[in-house]
Amino acid sequence: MRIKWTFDDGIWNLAFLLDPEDDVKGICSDLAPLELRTNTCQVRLPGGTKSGPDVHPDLLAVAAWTVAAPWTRQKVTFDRPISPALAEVFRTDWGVDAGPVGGDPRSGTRLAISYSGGADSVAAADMIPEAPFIHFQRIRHPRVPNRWEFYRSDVLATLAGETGRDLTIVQSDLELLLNRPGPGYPEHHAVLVGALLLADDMDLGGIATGYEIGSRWLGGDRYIHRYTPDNPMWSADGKWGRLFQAVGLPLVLPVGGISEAVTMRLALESDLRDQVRWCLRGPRSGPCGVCSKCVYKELIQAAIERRPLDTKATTEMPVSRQWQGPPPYSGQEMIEYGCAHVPGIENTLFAKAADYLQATEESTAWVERCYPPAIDEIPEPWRKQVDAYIADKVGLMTADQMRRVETWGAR
Amino acid sequence: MMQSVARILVPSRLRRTARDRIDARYVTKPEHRQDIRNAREDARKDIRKSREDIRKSQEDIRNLRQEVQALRQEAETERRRQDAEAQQAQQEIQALRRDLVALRDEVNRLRQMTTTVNKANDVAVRGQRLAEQTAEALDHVLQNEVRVWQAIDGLSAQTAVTEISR
Ligand SMILES: [Zn+2]
Repeated sequence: MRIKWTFDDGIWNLAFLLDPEDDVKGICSDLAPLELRTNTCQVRLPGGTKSGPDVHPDLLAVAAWTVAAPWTRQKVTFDRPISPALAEVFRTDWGVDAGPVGGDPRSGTRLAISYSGGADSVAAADMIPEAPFIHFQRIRHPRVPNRWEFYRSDVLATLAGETGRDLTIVQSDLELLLNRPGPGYPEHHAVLVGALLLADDMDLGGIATGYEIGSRWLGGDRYIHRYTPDNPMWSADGKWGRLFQAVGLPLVLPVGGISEAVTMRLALESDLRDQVRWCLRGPRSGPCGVCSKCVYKELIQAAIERRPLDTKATTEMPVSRQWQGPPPYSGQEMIEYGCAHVPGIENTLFAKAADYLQATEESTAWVERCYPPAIDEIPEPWRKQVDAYIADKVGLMTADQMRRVETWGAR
Repeated sequence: MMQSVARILVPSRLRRTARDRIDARYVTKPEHRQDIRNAREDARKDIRKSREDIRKSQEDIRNLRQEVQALRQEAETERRRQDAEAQQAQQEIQALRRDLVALRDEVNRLRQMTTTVNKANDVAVRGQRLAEQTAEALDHVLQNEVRVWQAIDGLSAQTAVTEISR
């Protein structure tokens, strides 16, 4: 793989060229099969960005890697030298020969939050109120007709702007590089491309994200649905964790030890409650209410509020199909929690799932506490702050509850 | 019927009066005069009665005439009313016929409009399908472009290696 970055008037243009052994078919770090559409993309930084082409080459290298990794088989050639430490991570953790090599490693001090506006990143933002936000906004790709106009990245950016926090919006079309399974981040870390390219400008020494216990420890989302201390995406010692550490931007998961039920509670109790938005489709005035995300999050909200499910979605709708068969389900710990806590669940579209899961308030109590190793994993400069917040607003799991996490997916 | 019987009886009674006069030589003169007076009186009564009967009959005839006249008028009124009704019905039928024609026109117009809308829909659906197919085709073109450059780069690298080793 050969990487080429060009900078023009605040816009970083990336092109990557496949070596003979590379392939347009690839595998994401979460093991999902992917297919490449095209090999160029852009990242638009806001006006007033100073560093521009002088940004540390290691940052450019990792930024490029977040979109080029799935297609690379053996070797990556960057257009400027990377530090030996970074090259070493590529070699040992990725089995990839990266170069050319030269120069010093980079470092920084401040923590920024990769802010999506969903409940998880709002909870993270509430934990670290002084951290600036960096928001990724999808824009259309000049070479790809937009068939996904329902995706309202403009609404999400507007809501982020209404938080009143220090906000930098970074626009990119990199999600359109992905042909299959559809538009999205080639690697989950591609959402951090703006933070990487702005790290020198903002003197960043860490990036906080909203990945919660399901993503970090339970192999959730597109992943494998089992306990994952060695999670390649989000563990400090995983191949991505080490890569980000090598460029002076350790990944910080303030909500890595708590579930979506807790992040939602914290988000709805926070100052940013009016800007929380997990739906990617609804207009400024409100979420769509019937997409997969809306129905899933409504289950969680109903559970934490101990009230019946309030949704227009019905069992017959395509959105409900995923919960009509047996588990595993995406975010299954939350489906269990919801089924155990929502009154009248047997009369909802989750009736079948509830029947399969047989979850009880007792069997899901762990979902309301923090998994302690997640706090240990937070880099030292921010650990104390998160720890105090968790102690104040959440509380830690008991040994028995921790075992629930550690045997997840083994039943 | 009784009255006409009475009228027929009158002459026979007069005949009897005449016979009584012939028999007068067998009665006294005053008696005879009295008989005549009585007979005259009876005759007068009969005449009055007949006149009365005639008058009543005439009155009956008048009443019947009036009744017939009234019936005729009634029949005439009824006929006129029926004529008017028939005329109105005719007018209503005419109006309905006109409405029917207008409705038929409207249905035809709507039918044509539906056809136009359907045609527009067909065009839109075809357009959307074409756009989707074009976008998908473009995906393949873009992907092939990546592959072509990959092959070209591979070839030029090989050529370079060959040239160096010569
Ligand atoms: Zn929605």
